[in-house]
Amino acid sequence: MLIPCPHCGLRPSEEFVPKGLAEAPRPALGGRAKPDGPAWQNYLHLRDNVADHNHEYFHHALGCRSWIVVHRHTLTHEVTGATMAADFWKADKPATTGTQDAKSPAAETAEDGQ
Amino acid sequence: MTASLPQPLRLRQGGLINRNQPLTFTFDRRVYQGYEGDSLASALLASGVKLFGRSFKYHRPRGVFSAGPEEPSALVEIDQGKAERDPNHRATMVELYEGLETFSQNHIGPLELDLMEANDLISRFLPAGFYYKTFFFGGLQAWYRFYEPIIRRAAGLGRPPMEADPHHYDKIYTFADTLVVGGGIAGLTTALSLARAGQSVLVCDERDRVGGAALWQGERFDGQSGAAYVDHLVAEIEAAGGRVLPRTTVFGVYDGGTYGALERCHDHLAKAGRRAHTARMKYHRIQADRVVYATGAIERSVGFMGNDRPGVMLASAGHAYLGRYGVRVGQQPTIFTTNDGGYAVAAALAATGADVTLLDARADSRLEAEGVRVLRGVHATQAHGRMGLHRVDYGGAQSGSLSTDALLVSGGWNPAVHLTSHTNDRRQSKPVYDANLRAFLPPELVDSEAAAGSVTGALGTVDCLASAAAAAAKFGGAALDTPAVDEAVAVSAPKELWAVPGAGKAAFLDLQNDATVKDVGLAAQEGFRSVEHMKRFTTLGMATDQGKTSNVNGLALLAAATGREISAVGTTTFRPPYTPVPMGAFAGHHRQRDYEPFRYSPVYDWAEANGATFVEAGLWMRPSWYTQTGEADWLESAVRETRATRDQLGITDVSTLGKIDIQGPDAAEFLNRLYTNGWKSLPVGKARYGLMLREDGFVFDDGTTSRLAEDHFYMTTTTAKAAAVMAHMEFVHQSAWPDLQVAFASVTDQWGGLALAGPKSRDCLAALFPELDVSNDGMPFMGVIETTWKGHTARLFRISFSGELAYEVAVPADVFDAFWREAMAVGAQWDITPYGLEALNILRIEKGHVTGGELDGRVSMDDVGLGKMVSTKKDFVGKAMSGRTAFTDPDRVKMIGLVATQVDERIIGGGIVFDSKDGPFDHTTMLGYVTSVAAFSPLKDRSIALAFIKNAADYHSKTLYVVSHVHNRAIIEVTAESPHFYDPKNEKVTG
Repeated sequence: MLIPCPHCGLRPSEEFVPKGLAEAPRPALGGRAKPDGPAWQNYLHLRDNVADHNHEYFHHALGCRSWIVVHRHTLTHEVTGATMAADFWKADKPATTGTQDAKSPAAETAEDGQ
Repeated sequence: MTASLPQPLRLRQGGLINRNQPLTFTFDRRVYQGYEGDSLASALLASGVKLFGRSFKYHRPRGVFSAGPEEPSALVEIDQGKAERDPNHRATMVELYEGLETFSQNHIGPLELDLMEANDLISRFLPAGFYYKTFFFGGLQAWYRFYEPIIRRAAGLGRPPMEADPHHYDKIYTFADTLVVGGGIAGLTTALSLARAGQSVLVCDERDRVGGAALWQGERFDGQSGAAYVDHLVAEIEAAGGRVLPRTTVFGVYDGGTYGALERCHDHLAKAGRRAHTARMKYHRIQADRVVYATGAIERSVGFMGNDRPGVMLASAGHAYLGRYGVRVGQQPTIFTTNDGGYAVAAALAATGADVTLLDARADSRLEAEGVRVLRGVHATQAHGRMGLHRVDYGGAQSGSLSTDALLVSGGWNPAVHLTSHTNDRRQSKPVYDANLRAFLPPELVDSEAAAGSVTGALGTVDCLASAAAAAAKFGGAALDTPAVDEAVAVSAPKELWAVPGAGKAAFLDLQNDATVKDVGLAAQEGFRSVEHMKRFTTLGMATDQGKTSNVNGLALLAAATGREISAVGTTTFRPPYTPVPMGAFAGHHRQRDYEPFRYSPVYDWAEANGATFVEAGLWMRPSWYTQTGEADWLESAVRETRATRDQLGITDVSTLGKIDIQGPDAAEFLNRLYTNGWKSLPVGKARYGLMLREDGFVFDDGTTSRLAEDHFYMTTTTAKAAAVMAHMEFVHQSAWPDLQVAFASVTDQWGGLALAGPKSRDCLAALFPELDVSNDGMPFMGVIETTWKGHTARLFRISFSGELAYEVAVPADVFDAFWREAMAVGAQWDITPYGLEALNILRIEKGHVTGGELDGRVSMDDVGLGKMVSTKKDFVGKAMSGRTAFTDPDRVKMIGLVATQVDERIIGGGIVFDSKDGPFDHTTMLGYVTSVAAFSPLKDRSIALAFIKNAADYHSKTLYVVSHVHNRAIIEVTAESPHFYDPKNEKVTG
């Protein structure tokens, strides 16, 4: 499998370490969320795990060390793009970058996509 | 030079062999000859050998069944010495070389007199599912001790090598715009079209010579022979910048345009001919934007009695042996066909003067072949000849019996759809059954895939060329002139005939697993409707050939037996690899220490020269103890080192600790969020012990972090968790708080570190850094000084893991060895003693410091007695979840110290703690478990341990019992006390 790292371009999956689904942001710092309340339970434990397109954290551990969120179909393994984890939870996050149709890493990281 | 040993079935001319280069080889120690260009199978057939091996289950005599990679029967062992004994080579794929030594498999005693042949005589008692059903008598013990060893010996596939593989293997990334799998006429034509259009094209073909059936079918292309036309195509592809790799099997299709291919680089060469230091095989990881599957088709047989006899083979195999190798597989051959394809080989054999009879299962066929006697509406019913075919019975429109020495069977063709299914299967896109062609065709392909040639169901070379043009057009290929095909071989869809009427036992489908027509019926009777279940029950389609010649017949018969359409039954799932791949090829050079390299401290050489025994700690090699003359064992050395440290001065290497350099205006804020305790108030020039939690509230790691400047910290982690802590910091920074202005990098390898511990450590430090004030006032407990040593940065920390007055000094890794040696020289006046991990462990257990044994991912801060290290004024990773009610459960186990009652009894690591010596020693009565043990504590003059038990506070000073169920189950009596055995008031450290 190839993963389109927004920083490095298409790289083989062996360079990455997966962490799991990115389905909820970390509850706000210093917030009043209770440990058994929905915010923490959603962040830590509850995963829809759909047989469909998913957002998954990957760490480019043997590359640029970025944490990225990969958009992947869990049945077909089709990867449709990736976002820097740093941008993923931002309201005005940039467009998803990098698809496997692209020819060169430069094209994949172009902000306007294809 | 000509061959001197007889090759009775070799024709005087024809074939693509080099008759000027005879080669001598052995099979079961008998000497034979063949020619350069022969396969082992063709050379043995030419020499008159019919018997190649014994079958897997019934040990029936078997010959060669095919002429290609689909071979189920003729598996041989190649022997080049003990470590290079290599089983399960398909004789059809083994290329002949001078001195090749081969052996047949699966027999006890000589091949002709296999003692296990009795299995065949009792085969009616060994039907499908026999293993599952029969061996319950005597229970599981009887299975392991009696049945399994016997079955394993009887049902084997050769002998594995018993020593490490001496070959080496390469892994290589290979890139192409378009990968073409299969170098037959269709694949080569498509490749040429794409290469001419400017694409980088890679053609992989599994055979030693590209060309596929064009090499032997006898067709002519624009007046040239097939072989000449193939050479022309290859030359043109290469001229257009394409590459053609023979002996390269694309064995798997993976996600994202990744393909696995195995190139066999030197198996076809005699040892002397192999270049030194070249890889035996190369595992190509191919990255291609597009793929053309030109994988061809595999002929299938028909189920009838005795269709596994040596001398019965696929019709295409007989044709290939004739056309490619100049071997006529019989003087009096019989062809049994369900389609037009059998006529070409019949005519070709007749043209050599053979006496040929053709049984055509179709009554309505009008085809003729010159010089061939044709019986129509007739099928073979039984083949005779245990060690070699001599007669075949036929039935149908007429019945009778023929004398024959070769029976060539064609039941039709199965497109080789394997690779086309590897990834498309995930889209629920399965091979499609075409009822007109009576074959499974590739599933619906995605935009980046195309198929060309007979894998598409194309019948005949003209159709294959048309499909190649279509595939090339899909990918923007250049237009090519289509060659005129002369003497075209007639091909048609077959009559539907999976097994002849009355076929049952001994009518074989899968020759490798001895699965018969009757077995499939039995599976249906037993209620196995799914083709996957039928496969597992009958073993049809398993083992090294994965049923390439048998699957479709099996599933078609299952469809008939269960009253369903073939399309409703479907195929089993195709998974990589297409053909077997040695594990060594996947490993490549990543084996042994090249897979998992050692990490060495800068003072490894010094330690080794000074008697250190090392232990692997993750990838690190760390000194465990330093043996001195006269010391009997590790414990004696470790206890001496412990005493010397407590009494005088010890030195130990702490270079392996994880070190992370953290900088930026928000560095203190970042640490505040990582650690449970507060960091903003830490002054420059001070260190602090910190505890990190996971987000779920459990303790993650601990370590000491120092403030070198307002915006600059130096963090240490445990050796084991260094990489995990780094990844964790990156995760929380990037995913949760990307706006924090902080940057950090691992500097573990950039710094070497040593600890000086013991009452004389201050004197030693002062001697090493005479210009510094390291007095208790100048450098108090947790003080940090950045200075220089001989012009190099040196960082001094007054921290202690041993419980003694102690300092750690870090200097750049490249001068650390020199610094260590100077410390040893300066410290000599106080008898400085290097200590290893064992002494370090005794020291820290006596002090009650936790390490990985305690911080095992299941403990809370409270459990390890560090609950006070929580700042209530701030949030941090794990804070919310550490408030979970489960963490305040009074039944939680908490850390406690244990001291053995008896001087000579040792507490066992991993032992279970009980409060009664009467038992039962099980989960109903257990209090907790032991995490760390000092086999001997000089402080207590006996064994001590750290443990986690329920209601720990209630058991102080009480007698407890430790039992290890995995050791000797001895009951060790211990006394519980505070885990801080040594200097609980911390006077030594702070004084």
